[in-house]
Amino acid sequence: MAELLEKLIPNVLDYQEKFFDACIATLQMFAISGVISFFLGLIVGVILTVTKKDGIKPNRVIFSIIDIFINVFRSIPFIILLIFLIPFTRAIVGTAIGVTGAIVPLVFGTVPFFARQVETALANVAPGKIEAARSMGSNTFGLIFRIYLHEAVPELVRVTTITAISLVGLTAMAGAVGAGGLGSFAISYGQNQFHQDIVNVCVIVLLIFVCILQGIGSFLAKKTTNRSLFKKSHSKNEKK
Amino acid sequence: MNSMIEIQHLNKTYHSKSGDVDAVHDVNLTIREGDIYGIIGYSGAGKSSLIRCINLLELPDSGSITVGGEKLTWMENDTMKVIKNKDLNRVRRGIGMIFQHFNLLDRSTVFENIAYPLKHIGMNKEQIYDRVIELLELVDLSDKIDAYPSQLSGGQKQRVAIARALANNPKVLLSDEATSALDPDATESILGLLKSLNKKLGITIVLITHEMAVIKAVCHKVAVMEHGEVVEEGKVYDIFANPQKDITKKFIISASPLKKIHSLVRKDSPFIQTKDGGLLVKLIFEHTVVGDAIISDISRRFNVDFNIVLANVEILKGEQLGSMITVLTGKENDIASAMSYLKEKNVRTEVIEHGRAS
Repeated sequence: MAELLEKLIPNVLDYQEKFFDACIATLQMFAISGVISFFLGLIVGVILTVTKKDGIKPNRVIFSIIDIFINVFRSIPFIILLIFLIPFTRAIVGTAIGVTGAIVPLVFGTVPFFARQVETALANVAPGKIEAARSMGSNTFGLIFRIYLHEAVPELVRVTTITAISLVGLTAMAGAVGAGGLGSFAISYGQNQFHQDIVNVCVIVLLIFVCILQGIGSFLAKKTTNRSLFKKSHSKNEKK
Repeated sequence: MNSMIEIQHLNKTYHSKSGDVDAVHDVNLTIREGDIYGIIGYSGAGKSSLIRCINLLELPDSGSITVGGEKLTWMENDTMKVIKNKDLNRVRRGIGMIFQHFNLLDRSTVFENIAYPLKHIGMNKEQIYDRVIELLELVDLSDKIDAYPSQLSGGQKQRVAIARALANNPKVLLSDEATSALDPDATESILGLLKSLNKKLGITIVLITHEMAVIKAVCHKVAVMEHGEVVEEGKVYDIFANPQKDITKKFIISASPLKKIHSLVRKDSPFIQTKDGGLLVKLIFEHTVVGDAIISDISRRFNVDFNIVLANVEILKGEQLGSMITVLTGKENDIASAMSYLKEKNVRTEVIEHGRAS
């Protein structure tokens, strides 16, 4: 087995430690910016939904500001956004390089995309459900948490999966500002030193990671549609 | 009986690029406690906007609305004042509403859907559970407690929606075309349920529909809407027996088996051929005369013949209403005296066609 690996991927084994560091850096960037982007994007997406013209609390000013903000950041290519944000990143987290330095641009690259997806997911909640809840005396918070976010869960799982996968792509680019990770490992140790096996392994690792994400996403989306995952029973014989 | 809903000078206009639309125009309505009150109109007549004003899902432009003694909107020096949001949400819990498309939460079970309005109002889990069980029994759906809406038929979904609407013991139930998406069997059972809830709980029901059959089946009173205005209003029997406006007559014909006559006339059918001097006439017998043998009496008395083409007796709120379409033949002056005798006997007559030489 070891012999076979030695033959197939000699350079990966030579740079084993660097390779594992790169994997961990990628995971760190993905996890930290992913969690931050998820919550920020969700909040922004909800605010968009609530403040839009036929929303439950229409507010043209707030809606327009967020709308323009999203459009601007979505139209900048990520590699340029990385450089563009360097002064801002430095001001916020103290450094513009390494994993820490990559988090800020990753969040800026992901939140607008995710917020739009959340907005679309919430727009799929039938207006009649909102109307029914209003007729039962639900306030704005009730409408958001008990109707929108409750009914849209499978759709939110789907758009989170899509966003997570595109975030994996962005982390590879973040290597350009010295954030490390599989992207920069593949370029500096693979491409630049003519070690094709390193590039191949990086591709395979990312491929497996994306497949796992998609698998989890699809599974959760299916299970949350009729909530077979967290089903509660209220029939008498099962309660007693 | 006290009035439950008072609407005065209600106006609602929608502004759009293609022009303003008066959805509700100067509507005045008083709905008494315990009534089943129907509002009928074609789509676009404003009935949907009107019913949504009753719980302020739709905010009117002007006018006053009072429900169960609580003022939702009122006029002060020509400007409309509106109830505070917090109070509105409390009042809304006392007004249940059901919809054409049920609007249940698809990711919640029947139990959770019905429990929705009971949460966050200070009830504990046991109380909520007991109340849901009670409501499920009321709508006869106890065995579906853990089902999801996608596993239910249309009629069952509407039953869940009704249980949910009744959860907080409302005094008023608003029904927005609640049977329009249902098949005839389910429609009948839902209407039956509404009727029995009205009797059992004394709940005031306001329903809008475009089907006269629905009004006929359950309502005590009816308002007819056209172009945002209430054009005719009254007890269902009176409206059916003696409609004033063309639109009302159209609605009544749509629910009557006698509507066939119009296609017969159009097709010039041999069933309704009138001989020279004969009349094709519609007779309407109200409950005061419906039991008398007027036709055979007149036939003997005036030497005329009745050829009955179509006939029908409705029972509206326990009172009979007969209508008949008949070809009247005989000598011209006999027919004339027969017609005036009918009028004398309080039978309303409507000549559809005079005889032609055939």
